[in-house]
Amino acid sequence: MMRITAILIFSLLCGRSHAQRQASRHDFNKELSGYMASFLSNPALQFLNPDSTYTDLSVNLGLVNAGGLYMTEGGDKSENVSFNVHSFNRKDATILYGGAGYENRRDEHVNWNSVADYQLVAPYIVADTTGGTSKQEYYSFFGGYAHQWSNKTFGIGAEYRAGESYRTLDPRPKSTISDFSVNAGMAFKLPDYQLAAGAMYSTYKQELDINVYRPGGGNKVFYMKGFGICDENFSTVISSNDNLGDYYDLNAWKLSMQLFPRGNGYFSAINFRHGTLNMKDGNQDNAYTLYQLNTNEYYAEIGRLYIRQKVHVKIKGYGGFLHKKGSEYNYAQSLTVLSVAQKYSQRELSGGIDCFVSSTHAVPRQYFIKAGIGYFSYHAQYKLPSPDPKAYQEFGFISTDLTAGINKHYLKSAMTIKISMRYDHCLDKKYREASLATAETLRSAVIPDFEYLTAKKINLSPQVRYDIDLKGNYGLYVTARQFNEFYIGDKPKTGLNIAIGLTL
Amino acid sequence: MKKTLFSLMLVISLFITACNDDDPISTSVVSIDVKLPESLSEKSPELTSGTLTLTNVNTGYVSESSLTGLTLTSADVEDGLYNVKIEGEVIYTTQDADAVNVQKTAKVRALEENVEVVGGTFDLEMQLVLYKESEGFVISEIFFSDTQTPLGQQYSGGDQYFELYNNSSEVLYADGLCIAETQFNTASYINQLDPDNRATKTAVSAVYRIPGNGTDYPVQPGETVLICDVAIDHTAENSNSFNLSEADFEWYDNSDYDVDVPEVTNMTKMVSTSASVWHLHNRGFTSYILFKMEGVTAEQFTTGYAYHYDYHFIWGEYDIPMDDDAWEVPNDSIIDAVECSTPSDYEWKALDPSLDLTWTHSGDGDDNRYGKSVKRKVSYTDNGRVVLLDTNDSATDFIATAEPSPGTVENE
Repeated sequence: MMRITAILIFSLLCGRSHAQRQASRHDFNKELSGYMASFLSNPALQFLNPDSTYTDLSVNLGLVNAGGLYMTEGGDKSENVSFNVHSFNRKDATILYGGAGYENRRDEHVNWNSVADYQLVAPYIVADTTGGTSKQEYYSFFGGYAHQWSNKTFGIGAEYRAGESYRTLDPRPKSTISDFSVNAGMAFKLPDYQLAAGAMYSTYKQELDINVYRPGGGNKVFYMKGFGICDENFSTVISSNDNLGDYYDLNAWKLSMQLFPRGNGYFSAINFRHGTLNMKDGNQDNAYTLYQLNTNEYYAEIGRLYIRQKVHVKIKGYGGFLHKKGSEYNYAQSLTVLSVAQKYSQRELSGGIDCFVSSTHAVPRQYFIKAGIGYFSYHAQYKLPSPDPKAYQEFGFISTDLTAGINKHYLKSAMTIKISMRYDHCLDKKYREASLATAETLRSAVIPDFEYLTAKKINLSPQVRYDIDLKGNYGLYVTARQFNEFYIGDKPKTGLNIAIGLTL
Repeated sequence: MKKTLFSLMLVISLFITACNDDDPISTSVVSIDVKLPESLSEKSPELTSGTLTLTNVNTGYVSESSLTGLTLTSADVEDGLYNVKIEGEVIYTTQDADAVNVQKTAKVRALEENVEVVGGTFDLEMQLVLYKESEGFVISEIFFSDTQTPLGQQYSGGDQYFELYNNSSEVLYADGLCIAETQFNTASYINQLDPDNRATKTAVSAVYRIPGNGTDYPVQPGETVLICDVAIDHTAENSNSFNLSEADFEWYDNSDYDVDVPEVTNMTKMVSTSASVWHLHNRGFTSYILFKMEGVTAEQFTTGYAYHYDYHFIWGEYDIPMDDDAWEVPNDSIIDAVECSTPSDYEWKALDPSLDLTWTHSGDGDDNRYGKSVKRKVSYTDNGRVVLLDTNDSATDFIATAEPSPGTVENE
């Protein structure tokens, strides 16, 4: 309760603004902000943000239900209720923004996963075969500031997320996470362009405890290494007399450069991100590393902005490459390190062309169309001792997407309608299972996950938002977004998000 | 200016997208030098066949190769912690009663655990020992894992038992047979054990002996001897338990906590580290031996076979010298031995490999163990007499997590 009160106070402090319609436009501008993410991630380029001053408080309900394919480790059904507040305050030479959120979530039928933030720490996860419903609570805060002088802009921002993920069925895993990042940037005005550079540092921690509460109960806990392979030495049975503690830490940094035109012209951005994740056995004070995952991520995009009367047209080509290398620490009986072997690697390559057309007039009607075509390839492998061949998974996708939206303002209300469509076509897929994986793991986790990842998908998502002006500068809105993911030859995944909010 | 900026960003982009190849895995070439059994050194032994098994403790990866000579160089092996096992056969020349040379075949094996393979090349010497299948009493079943009541609670009425079996074709006498639980726990590695006498003696924490003057308790070929904690019909209190009222012997601790059934003969308590009652480790972390020591009284055993040892308790940075007391049984007195552990918790062997090369288990330390035993497999039937499998290799000889059948042998 105190945390919710704190979020409310924070929202009131941030919410010194006076244009309820701007909040509606912020929601309308989300796709544009996403298109410009490489630029807006630098706090010094917040002046490129399409948003004007607004404050938004909302309560959201989300439901997702997978009828067929889904990631085993994430569960097939989820419900979440969240409370969010965010504010953006733009003045001539300064921008101040911030927000806070609380999310209460439950994921059902989670299997082969006892950790929080699975995507972040995989493949080095702790798992059991019991599975069940994972309950989660997260708190998040973010904020930033940008100041503009005559020919330069400085910006700084920070984000913090904390939370808990737990299960109430034995064995009972409980993860406590904290995730903090800070970023800063500088932008310089050139005659026709803005040149910017940014840096980010983040630190993430997750403490995992697994206990068995039922007297006489026990269960096997597996230390997974990808491809359904588990560490034979550390995987263990825990009973009601035992507890198991593990610890993740992830430190990452990112450097970026951006170039954006001050009128018609080219734009470009490049990013490099490096992260080191350590999974340790034991608590923070007395832990030794079991696995290490190093990630290097490269991204570059180049495009051109055309300004034609009241229409902005942006077209860009982009390419990204992600490389993860996972190493395993082998210990002697005395827990001294015998060897470190790099066995897991993952490469992801992406590229494509995206086009964004948007109207610049704010009232009474605004629209956008986004279209893109892209290619994504994934290759992960695990080295096995000779003569066994490497286990691997690889696939390639070509994707096309089309999103359109319109925002119309009436005398005392506003309406936003969006629809997005996406088709992912798997071009090729190859898979070789690991000889060290058990038949049960392959059957119940590895193969279903691969089927989900390589399925041809059609994604269709309509969204409607209706805003109504209240007295003063207040407004009220309701948003409904329906989400459908259709698979060829399998039942679809469906979802619904409903939000009710107050705007200032 | 514009071109310069874009060129600069393009160059940086190309530079950072140059990625490294994956790192190679460190490997070592393992050379095994096999030593033939010392007891055959005067009998011109030759290794005729053998299999070398390397098991990586971390990954569980198992590699096997044939052994045709006394040296073997294994191909590149990933650096790590290994268990190394050799099993094979030797032929040797010996003399019969008429001093005529005859050739004999014998089974041999060797085991080295937790071998640290690092550094590019690794030399390992392995001493083969002879073993043979038992032809006398064997431990045919051990029920250590307790039962649960229908309400799911652990039953504490004393339904643990041992079943011994006359695996020979002759009448044997159970008089003086001792059953003992090992002091060392297979799920807890003892660092820097000193003295480490496991090659010649087995450390025990509890010993109970069947009374008798040598011929009081005859056991026919193919018959069992049932030894239990409390010899009652436990199904009256717990429908998931067994009727042990027909047991031959029970171990009674003369304690306020124990129950004595007067109709069933009590075993003689030789020694025990427990001040109250003897309760077998119900997750199966300890092992059991069957032995006979003629003419040694409980008092003599208590003092004459005492074993004091030192070790180091190591956890993270902590290294604490410790010591403890138990008793030792000479390995050559042991008739049968069964190493027990669990797949998830096994760390080391409490028994010398010549007594039991591997280990068996009931469940994996979890609820699946309740109501299950470890039971020796049937090898063959000779004129109606069941002969149980006994190769001193419990992983092979025993049915793990078996359905208990106190007093009867069956192959399921």
